Amino acid sequence: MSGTPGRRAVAVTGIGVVAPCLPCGAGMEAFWDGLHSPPASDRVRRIAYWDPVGAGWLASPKEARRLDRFTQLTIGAAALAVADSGRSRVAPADPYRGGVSLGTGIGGVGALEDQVLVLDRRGADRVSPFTVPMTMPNAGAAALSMRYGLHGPSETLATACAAGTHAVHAGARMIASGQCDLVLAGGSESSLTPTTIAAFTTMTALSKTGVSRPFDVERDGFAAGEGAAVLVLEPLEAALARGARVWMLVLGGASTSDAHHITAPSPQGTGAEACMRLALADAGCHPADVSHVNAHGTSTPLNDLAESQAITRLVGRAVPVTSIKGVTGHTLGAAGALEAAAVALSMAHRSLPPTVGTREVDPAVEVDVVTVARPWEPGVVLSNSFGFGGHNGCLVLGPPPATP
Amino acid sequence: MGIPTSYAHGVAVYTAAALRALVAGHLDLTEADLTQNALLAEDLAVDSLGAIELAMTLEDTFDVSLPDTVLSGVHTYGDLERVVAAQAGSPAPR
Repeated sequence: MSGTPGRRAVAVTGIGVVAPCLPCGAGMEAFWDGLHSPPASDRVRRIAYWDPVGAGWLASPKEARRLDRFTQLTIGAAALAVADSGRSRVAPADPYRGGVSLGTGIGGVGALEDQVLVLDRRGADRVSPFTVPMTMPNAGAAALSMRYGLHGPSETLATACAAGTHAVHAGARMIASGQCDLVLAGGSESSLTPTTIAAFTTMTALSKTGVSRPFDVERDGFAAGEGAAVLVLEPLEAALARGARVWMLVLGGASTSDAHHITAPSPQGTGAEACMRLALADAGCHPADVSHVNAHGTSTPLNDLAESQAITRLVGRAVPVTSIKGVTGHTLGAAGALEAAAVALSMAHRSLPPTVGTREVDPAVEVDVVTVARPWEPGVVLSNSFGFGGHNGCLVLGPPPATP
Repeated sequence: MGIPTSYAHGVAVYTAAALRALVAGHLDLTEADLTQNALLAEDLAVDSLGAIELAMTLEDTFDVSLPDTVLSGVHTYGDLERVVAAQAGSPAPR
């Protein structure tokens, strides 16, 4: 969106991540370390230690009790992002120009599931009066608006595993269009309840081995993860004026639909290819500009083949492709936001993290899969997310302007 | 996550001290905050949903009944103590 007439350039000035691969409350460098950790073999990957009250993100156990875990993760990631941004005050001078754009796959399903058990075991008059405000997918966005006094748009996209990417793109458009001067954008997911795990299992989406190995010849499904990432988005000009550190730019994006099948991608990844192509056009870039693809790369047989075919047709075989899901697992509606955070770290470190867990790339996968961390010259990056329902999202990210 | 422990059905014997300790813990307040004249909404930050949640907890713990018709007359901590004590402290309902 930088080189596009009529749009303001969008800078990412702060990032916060909570994920299974990093200690609660740790910053971006810990996330970078986590992306280089050895492969795990857990088909369900939770944040092992979660203490939002101890971290100072929630005031009290009472507040925590009234927020589903996905909202707690949202609040934690946002607090880290805001601190990282160095903004003395989060809300713009005109608070109606401060927005929130979040994605989630299933929202507060954990809260609902708890209350289903209460209903069954104790009766209707014991169901918590907080059930609806805890379960609703927009609870995370509402929490951030209230917390930071942001009176502008506060919206939630529920496009399954594409939600995080779509939400960052939607937030960037709020900045680019001139509607907002600050947006907290990202995704959050904590839906690893007994019922959803059972359902992912019976639909054979989860890896039997528990090892996520994107693009590997032995890949057999994803590992389910929980996590959240929030990005602080500001107009580039304003960010530079206040001397902010700029992680990267959101150059553009696209959102398309396969209109094909409720869970399977369109054959040969035609839907994914169209989305990437439209995203590049939106950003005013060409396929030849692409220097890296942060793939959706879930480690399912269907996704990884279709996505690799789409990438090959669009940019050829020479562009390095990474999936971080070997480490994070598939964090569903948060995944796109976590992956945008990973791209920002790649820009800062001038290095691409490995696709952890992958030992032997499937011969049918023709792209250059990064299996060992490698040096990289930052350039235009595509970050892909594809969701059940045929929802495709693609972000075009670019390095920050060179410092004089 | 399981069923919230606050909804576990464990009947306790009512005393003013037991009520005070339970309410303070439930609301993340100190027992000193729970003066007889403390207003639930204004002083103790108990909003409408919070009042329903608190009532459920007290019903479960002390085996009392606090329907809306009773709660609507409760404004202070002292009011709350009286309605709970009236039911829990007496073998026959008043």
